Amino acid sequence: MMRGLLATLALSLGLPMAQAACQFDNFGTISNPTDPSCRDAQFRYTRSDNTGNNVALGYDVPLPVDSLTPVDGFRSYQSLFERHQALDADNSTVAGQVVGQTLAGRDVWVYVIGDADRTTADGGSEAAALINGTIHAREWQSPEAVTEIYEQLVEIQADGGFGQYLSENLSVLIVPVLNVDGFTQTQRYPDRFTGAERQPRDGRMRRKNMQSPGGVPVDEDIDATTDNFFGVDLNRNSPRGWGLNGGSSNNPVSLVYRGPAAQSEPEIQALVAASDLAPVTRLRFFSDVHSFSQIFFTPLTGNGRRDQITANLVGRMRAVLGNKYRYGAESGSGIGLTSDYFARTFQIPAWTLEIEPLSGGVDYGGTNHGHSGFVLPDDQVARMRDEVASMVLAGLYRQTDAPRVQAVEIRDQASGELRYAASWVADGDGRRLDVSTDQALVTGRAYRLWLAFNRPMRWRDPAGAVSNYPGQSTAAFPNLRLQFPTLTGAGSDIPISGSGSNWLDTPGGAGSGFLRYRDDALSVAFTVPQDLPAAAAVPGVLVIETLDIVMAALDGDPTSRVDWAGGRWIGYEDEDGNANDVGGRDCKIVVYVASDENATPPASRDVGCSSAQAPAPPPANGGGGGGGGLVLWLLPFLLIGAWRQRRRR
Amino acid sequence: MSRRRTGVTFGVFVFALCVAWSTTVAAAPGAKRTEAAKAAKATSGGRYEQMARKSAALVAASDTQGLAAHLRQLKSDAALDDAARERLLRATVLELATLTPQSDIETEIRSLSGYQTKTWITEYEHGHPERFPAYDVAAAARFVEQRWQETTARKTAAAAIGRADTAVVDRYISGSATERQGFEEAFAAATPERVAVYADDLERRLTAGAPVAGLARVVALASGDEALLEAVILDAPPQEALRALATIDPAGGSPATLTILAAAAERDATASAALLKIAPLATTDTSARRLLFDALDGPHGASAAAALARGNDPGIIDELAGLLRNSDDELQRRRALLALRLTDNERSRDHLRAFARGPETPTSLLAEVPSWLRQ
Ligand SMILES: [Zn+2]
Repeated sequence: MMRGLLATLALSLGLPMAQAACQFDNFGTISNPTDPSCRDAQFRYTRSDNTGNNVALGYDVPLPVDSLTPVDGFRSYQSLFERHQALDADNSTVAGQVVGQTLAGRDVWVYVIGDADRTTADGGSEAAALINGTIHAREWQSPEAVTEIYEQLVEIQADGGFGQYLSENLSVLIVPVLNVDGFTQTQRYPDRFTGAERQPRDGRMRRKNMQSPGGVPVDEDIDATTDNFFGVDLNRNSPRGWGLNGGSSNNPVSLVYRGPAAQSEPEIQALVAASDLAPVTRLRFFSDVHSFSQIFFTPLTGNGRRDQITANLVGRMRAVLGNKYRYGAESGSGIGLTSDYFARTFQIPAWTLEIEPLSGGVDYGGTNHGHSGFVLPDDQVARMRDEVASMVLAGLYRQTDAPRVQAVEIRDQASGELRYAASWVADGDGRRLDVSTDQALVTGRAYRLWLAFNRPMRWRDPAGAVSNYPGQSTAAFPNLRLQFPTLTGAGSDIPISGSGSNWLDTPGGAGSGFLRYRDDALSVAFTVPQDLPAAAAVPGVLVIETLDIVMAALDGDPTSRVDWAGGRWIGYEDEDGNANDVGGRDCKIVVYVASDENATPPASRDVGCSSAQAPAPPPANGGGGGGGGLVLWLLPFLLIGAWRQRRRR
Repeated sequence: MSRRRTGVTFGVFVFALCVAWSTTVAAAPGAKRTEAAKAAKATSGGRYEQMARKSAALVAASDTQGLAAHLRQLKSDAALDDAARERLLRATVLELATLTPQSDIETEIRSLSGYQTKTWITEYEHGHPERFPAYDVAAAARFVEQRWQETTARKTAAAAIGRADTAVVDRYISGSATERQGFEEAFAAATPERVAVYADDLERRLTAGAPVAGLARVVALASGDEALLEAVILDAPPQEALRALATIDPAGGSPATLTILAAAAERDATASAALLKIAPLATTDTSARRLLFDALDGPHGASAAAALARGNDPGIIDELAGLLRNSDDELQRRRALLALRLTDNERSRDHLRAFARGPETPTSLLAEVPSWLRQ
């Protein structure tokens, strides 16, 4: 009895026993993988039992639950797969496709989410985003979060606003589980692992796929231990840094074994096949989804505009949770990550999103024991899913397009008579402003301006009031002015004031309702001053300055369509026509004002607008580390949750 | 070895106060053999072994007073470096979880729960360096404190159960999460006869909305009380209800099992899990099979479809194919289609192929077929 106790204790205290456990070389690779004391070592996670080879987590060991609908915990692979298939079969907006087979012959699926056509609502070519889940088997946060994104996109696709906009203007390709063999292996043994507490391996702690150097896949029996350290780290198997920069190993027992060649693994080939469906020329968003360490680990490619756009994009997503997630930029040449591949090959924003926790199970009151960060407690899962999805949805909206003016109407307030109407229409590869009504606005009279944009421009709280998307800060009402550049002095610049309540959340189109999506249009009254010196007609420029839901400024020149190529925005300009990737003001709508309603229009409208009001630049990556501002970020997040009031079916 | 140049460097560098991680993460730095070797030596030297043996002997003797003094010595022992000290502290602290505390050791553990780690380990498996405590002494101490509280609560509850004291349920309700854990452990360990006396009271309180779901689940399992288990599944908060549902074994269940599962299938939070639980019954029990077919066009029809598919039964497959051909309800047809897609065998694929060729097949449904058949 005493002898057994001492032996057990000696093991945990690391006393030199007759048989040593796993030893690690200076590079973290197990140096005695065939030694039975290492090869055959078996451990079990428990809630609170640390005796022998048990490892107490300090909270209940999560077990997979068979349920298609989300639970406060983790779903089994089979029921997750059934959920993915069900959303596909139930919705014509989801197209599932097999993009390859794992080593064991299991299908790898991608789900393309969005309306069936690949054109935007106004006839352009749609953008695409690719989200890859569960490349590392033990990172159970990933399939849940990625499935949540899939579920939410489908759930909000007909919401008349934000969700419908995404559905009609973006293709989102989701691979919920890439490493199917590895993931099912972790769920087969949800509380067991091999190796060592310092570096837990097979069973629940399998990271890699099931590849083995002999060509016969690793067997699924955790007790058959001869091959339990084998497998290829699928996130070291991509080109762009494969085998370079000290980020991977050529030893098959290493946790970060890169495989015999770049893209040697069928799972990585399946991911490439999935990206081909986007197709890659339309891709402008790639997220690989992992856990843990709570960071957007983001390759910089040296393409300055691409790197800045990426930093801004990640900044907006991080802001959703009050910078709880960190930003880590990597400026080397890569280590064979999937994000290296997409960032460096296609020059698109791409990152490795490491989901919470930041430190480990200790973040939830656990023991910080045996890589517990990979084992999120059940009661944190639902919150985690919602948080990750709300960040990613903000990023998807950002990358779909840039905000711009779509149409304008001005009516006489009293008579309702239409005085000015214009809209942007397709013209070749670009657009032209089609002005269908162009009458003088008369001094001293009141008018109603209806102004429509190409996308939902405002977010609403659960009570239906215009508010901010979590973590964003967009003024409720745009900075609108009627400028008269040919006049000088007082009264030459008329502000048009309003509030959040001027945004339109009921349909009706021109003049009375939103154009295509809830909150893509506003309606506001203004008066042309009586004393404006307009005996002869003068041009009046409607200067429009606003940010959208994630604080992007307007494309100042809708003539050229906004697109993405070569690691930068194409046709996203400020009011002076500078393609600057961040936009500016719109000064393209030029009416005319006169003291007589039948006055002859001015000879020229080409008057530009004054640069008095510079657009507020959207904050880039504000804040350093993570963690701060708990209360500040929690509140809007709770609001978003209440707003959705989801029904899970 | 070439690995030395390109090899990974996670998990082996133990060094004090490594460079703080900044917003820009550097690539994995070059190997620092000396630090790794130093750390390894520090945790395997003579002094380390001597102190580890002392820890083991004191734990074996349940000598908490001696352990308190030993922990104090470890904290200040100049012959130990920080890595060795923290490894010894953590391992020794963890062993205390099963011992009965007294004030001396409680004070020591409380003090260690705020221990500031000096030895950090840098891991690169996330693709960038991340720093973790090599031996998290503070987390271990907090765990032991929590475990002691749980154990105290467990002993209190066990004594109450022995007296058939019904007030223990009130104490459970007013207790902390830690105390409730201890109470549940006590009930789980008691004999069925001892816990059965609590079942009616718990069922009444549960249906009245009292926060007794965890205890009710434990008592239902410990006493084999199906009525109480059903109450937990139908009335407890979703997480407890699902945990209770998970304990049902349809194959080995009583005739009441299907009744319980059918009721759970009506509750939004448990419906999907309940329908999947019914799956194994559907091939042999016609009422189970009818229940799943009837649920196909309901709010959880996708789960019913998945459950029908899991049976992999020729009769079910043919009935699904009949629905797909003949039903005039598009939702029901989509669910039948889903079930056939999820049934991975030739018979269902034959039905899908025939459906895809059918002249009257609507294009909206046809669009869902090819990806599965890989045409
Ligand atoms: Zn990972």
